[in-house]
Amino acid sequence: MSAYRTSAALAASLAFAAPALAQTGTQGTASGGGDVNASTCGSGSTTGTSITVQGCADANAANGGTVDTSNTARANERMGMQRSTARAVDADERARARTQTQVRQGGVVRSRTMTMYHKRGEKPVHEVITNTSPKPSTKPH
Amino acid sequence: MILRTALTGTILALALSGAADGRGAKECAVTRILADGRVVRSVAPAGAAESVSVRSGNGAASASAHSRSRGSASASSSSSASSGGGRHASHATSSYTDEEGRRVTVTRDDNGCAIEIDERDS
Repeated sequence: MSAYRTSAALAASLAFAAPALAQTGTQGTASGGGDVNASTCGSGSTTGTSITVQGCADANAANGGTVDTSNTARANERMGMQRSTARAVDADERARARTQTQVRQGGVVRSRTMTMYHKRGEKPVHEVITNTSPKPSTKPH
Repeated sequence: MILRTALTGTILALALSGAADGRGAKECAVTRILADGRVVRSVAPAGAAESVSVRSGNGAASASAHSRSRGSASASSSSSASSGGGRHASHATSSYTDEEGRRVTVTRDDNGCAIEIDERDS
């Protein structure tokens, strides 16, 4: 069956009038409507004085297989980074998703999600989503 | 430190420690004592695993979470870190459901550890 679907939803990219805030994120799901699916999300923000990053990963195999997820997030005074991966594999299907987000203090926030679903005998389906926030304004409104 | 469990059967005791290694990383360590006296260093059955770790200090924070399972299973994890204004915070959660339907969730943040084990759906 060639019915597959790789869906991806984009988190909102927000730029508030004041105070200066840059924030964005991406998320995606690799699924073919079969037994396995994998999804990841990630987002980051900076206010000019602080940095926050976060991510999530989820993997499911309904009819036997292997699932694994991994998340790391780091932030210091200058930059923040997060990486989320999810993978679900069974005998004839595999789904994979990865999200990475980078934040620079007082700079832009970049987030990127890649998904892949492959069913044996069919072409793999790839999807990439990239989201970049506007650079936060330093001028008072 | 929080411990919530719905475990039954062979588990006589479940101890949880939020230890910090020499480099400042705080992890959740779970010890399970079986009915026959054996000590198991994880609640995960064969083929499954989870780990969470957070680290903070010197104006930086980091968090990591991993989960893995085999069979008809699911796994999920999340982590977050923030830094700024001389403060920092980190949080990590990892969970999985094994093929017997048991759900294990381990959470770690700067304040402590929590584990939740639920096999009521099995």
